[in-house]
Amino acid sequence: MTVVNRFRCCAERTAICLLVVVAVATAAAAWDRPPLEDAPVIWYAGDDRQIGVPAEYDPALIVTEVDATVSQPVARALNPVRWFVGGGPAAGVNALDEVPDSAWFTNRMGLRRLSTLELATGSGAEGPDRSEPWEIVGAKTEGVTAGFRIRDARGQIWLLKFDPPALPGQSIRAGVVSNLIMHACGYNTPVDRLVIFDRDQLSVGEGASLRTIRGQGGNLQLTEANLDSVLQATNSVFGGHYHCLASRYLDGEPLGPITHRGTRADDPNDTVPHENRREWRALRVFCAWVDHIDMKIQNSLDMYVGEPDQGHVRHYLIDFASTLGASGAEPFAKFGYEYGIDLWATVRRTVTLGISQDVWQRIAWPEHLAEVGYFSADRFEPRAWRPISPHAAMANLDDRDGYWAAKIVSSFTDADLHVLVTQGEYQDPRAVDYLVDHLGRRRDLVARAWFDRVAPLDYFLRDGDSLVGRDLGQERGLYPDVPTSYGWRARPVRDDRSSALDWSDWQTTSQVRLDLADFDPSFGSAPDDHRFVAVQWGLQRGDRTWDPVTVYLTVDGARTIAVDR
Amino acid sequence: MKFAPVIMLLLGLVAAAPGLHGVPCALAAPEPQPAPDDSLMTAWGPHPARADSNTALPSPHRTPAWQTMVLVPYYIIGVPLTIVDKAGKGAILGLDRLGAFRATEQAVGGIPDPIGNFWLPDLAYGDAQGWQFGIIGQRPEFPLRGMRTKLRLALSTTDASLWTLGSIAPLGEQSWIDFGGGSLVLARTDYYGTGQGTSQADRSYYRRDSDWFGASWRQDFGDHFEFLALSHYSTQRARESRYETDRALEIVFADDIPYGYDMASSGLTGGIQIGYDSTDQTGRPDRGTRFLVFTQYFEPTDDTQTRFWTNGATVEHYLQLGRPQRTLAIKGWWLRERPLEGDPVPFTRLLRNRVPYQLRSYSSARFHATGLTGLTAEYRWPAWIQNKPAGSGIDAYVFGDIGQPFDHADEVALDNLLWSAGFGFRVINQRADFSIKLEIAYGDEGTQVRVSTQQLFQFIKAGFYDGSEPVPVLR
Repeated sequence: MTVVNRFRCCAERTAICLLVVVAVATAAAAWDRPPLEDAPVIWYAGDDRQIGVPAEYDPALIVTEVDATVSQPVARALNPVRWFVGGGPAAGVNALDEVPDSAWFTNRMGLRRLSTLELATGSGAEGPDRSEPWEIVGAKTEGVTAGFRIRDARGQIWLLKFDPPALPGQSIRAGVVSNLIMHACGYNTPVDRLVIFDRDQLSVGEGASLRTIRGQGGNLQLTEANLDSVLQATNSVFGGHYHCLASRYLDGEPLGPITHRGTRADDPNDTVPHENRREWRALRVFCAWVDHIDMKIQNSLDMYVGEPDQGHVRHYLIDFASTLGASGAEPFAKFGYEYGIDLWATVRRTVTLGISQDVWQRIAWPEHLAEVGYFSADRFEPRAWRPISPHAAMANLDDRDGYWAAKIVSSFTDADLHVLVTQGEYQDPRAVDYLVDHLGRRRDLVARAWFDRVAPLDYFLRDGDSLVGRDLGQERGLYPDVPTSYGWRARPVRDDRSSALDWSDWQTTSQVRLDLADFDPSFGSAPDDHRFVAVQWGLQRGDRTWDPVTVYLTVDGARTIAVDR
Repeated sequence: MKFAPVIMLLLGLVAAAPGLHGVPCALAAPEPQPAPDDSLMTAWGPHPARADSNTALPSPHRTPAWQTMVLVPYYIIGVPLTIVDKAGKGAILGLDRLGAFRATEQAVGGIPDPIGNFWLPDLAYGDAQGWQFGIIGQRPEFPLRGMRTKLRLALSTTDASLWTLGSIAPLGEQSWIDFGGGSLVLARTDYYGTGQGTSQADRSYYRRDSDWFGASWRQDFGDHFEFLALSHYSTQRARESRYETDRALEIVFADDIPYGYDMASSGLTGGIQIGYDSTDQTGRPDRGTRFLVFTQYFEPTDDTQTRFWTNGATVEHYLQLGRPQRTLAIKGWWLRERPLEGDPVPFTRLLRNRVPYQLRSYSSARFHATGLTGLTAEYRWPAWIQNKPAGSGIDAYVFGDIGQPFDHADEVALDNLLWSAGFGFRVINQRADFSIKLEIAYGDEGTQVRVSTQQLFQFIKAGFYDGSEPVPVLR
């Protein structure tokens, strides 16, 4: 055998092996669905079983950042399974492709409408108790901005955070607004409120100190005498009053940040690797919407709630100061468009000799609005959005995750956004208008980005003798003036979704509604093991056709038991 | 069935009993149910109350067999990578605890030690010295308030060694004095002959020892003009190297041993220079001009009669190309040594192709001559941007150099010009200063790869405080 022939033979074998692996992988991915069953849909994760107190996890920031920026991306890039099936489908979703309520997530907007009061309240409407002066008890220990801890009359500990002096009002207001948005989306968040106070609301406790901006001298010992000048230096004075963000310490025992991947070994309720949790993967969509760039693990927190051995772990997102274009000490246009260390952007700039201009370098800071950072819908590309550091769970986001998040995001109305933004107590009404406008436009871009990939036909319910679904794209005004039509076909199926029968012919309709009496009469002769009915819904808008959505019903059509996308 | 009435009575009582306790029995009419709370109405219908039937702890996906098979070699291959990863993170954590990553945020760069010094690693690669490893220590407010002192120690893989110690002190708002000394031993350095037209095939080796101490005074005038006066004493020795003795200078150039070999040249140098700088005086200017003229005089203190002037001029210009930080940097230089009557200039004091007058595809010791001229153009652009384009990051650049050594002005001709071209990356630190570069240059005689904390443009790390060797010129 010549060298050339040997090479050809080797190449053919390699190609065949690769094809087999791809075929097997594709088939395996396609069959990764639980069997159908006529049982109640799982709406609660039950991950609040009593456990002992897990150990505290306190990793060094620099190590977790190196891990997120270098180690994990390299591991993902080299993982051969990901070459074929990506991150795989999310775990922990129910048969309707929704996320059950859990210690991580509670269904709020999207599945239902929150009232104005619920939106504005979030985790809690009240700031620190003002019936007595707040006692300063210590310095803020994390982050880059100034702040200190206080104890109020109820004995609750609050963290008071100020803005960088050069940007008064920017990150504290963004922190309040984004906290409420993420809470409304379903995440656990602390009580973060904008508080307005005067000097006499504060008293200096023993050993109190103030965290100055990082790199500018560390903590400053506080006294009643120097408190005035310290407060003035924060530059957070509006109309003669001090403004800051008050964040209430969470109830329970802190256990440290939530890792982006894996599970907490000493929490038996933590059964799904975090990178496979849909609500954690879909953070990329929510964070893109509000430009929550600082998604390092230190901005999440596990809390043990309850008495020892009688409680469980609850998972929180914390610190939303780097959102809505604000960013710690100084806002930068780059973030949201590139990782802090972004290999591909660096290669692109290098090989194009710098001629290729970054999208973010064309973003203008609305300088006439001092309380707003680099936040704009003008060049926002939801699927290209990036946090500062790569995020293992966000990296696994797939179309189904994105669609699930997009239907939550798109459920916020402009009026909802106005309610949420006004909680930031912006001093310039134009800032409120600007943020509501750009949040609304970003919401629509997010929804379009994912609704273009997954047919937004959802919420299929029995209505009399009909099965009725909703076209979220049309309902939320995302495809105005585009002619839309729907089609359906049906057949009985076994538990494993297979069928001995052919699909019925496609029936075209102008609504997501079918009369159950229209089912093919041959269903009557279906074998006994065909216990369910599959209805495929197709969607066409203009020239564009989407992959169909399959809805599974009990054989009498009474109940939707599963949805496949 | 005489007991049937009794049984029926008992069954009736059992059936009625729940009703007696207020619990509706199966046959009782259902109580009216309250309407579902609107807040529990969801897009999927009424949200059910929690019950065992709708609650389940989620389970992770089962890994398919094919994935397990594919992942086994992945994990095996990953073992050494994991070890490297753990070791790297451990090192980073250790450096962080030493304060290394806060160093660039401070006015004095470096890792602080308990007694007030700041230390930085000093790394370089290239030329005849190969890899060079060293440390730089700085101590602010030492030896007097307002002063700063710097110590450099370095060794190379080719047995070169360096130590320097210098201090700088302000004499007012726009005036400084710096002083210091040092010693540089190049156990093996190159010699190819003097003047232009030397051959790469004539490469030879010798050992070079340099010692110096001196002081300079700088006075700025306004925002752009500077005046500098300097004086230093130096000794240069050249002798046989212990390395590669078959290519020793005295063998390869047996018929043409250069003046200054196997002897020491000692003497005093005095000079002045005048400069103009309209750049933003950072390591990454994108507009403005720098201009420098200088003259120096050397007077021997040994038994020789070597006396000579060294004159030079350099000009740099920076052009912004369309967008900020896309910069074309151009630099030209002309340097000339003019011996007075007496002994010739020892070859150890001749001008050399070294920073900041370098043709980058040639070794730093490739040329020895009484004249050097060159022109270089460097196009720079940001490759990695930490936060904002004007801030810290890594700039990429491409460059081209032309120039030549000469002993007589009429030797300068297009036909004699040498050229280099290449590319590199420059690290810009938090203070927007140039930190270190990686550079690859290609030319007639091959390729040079360099890692260096020095650059051709804005050669700011020059002076007795910074520990640069002042022979033949300080900068």
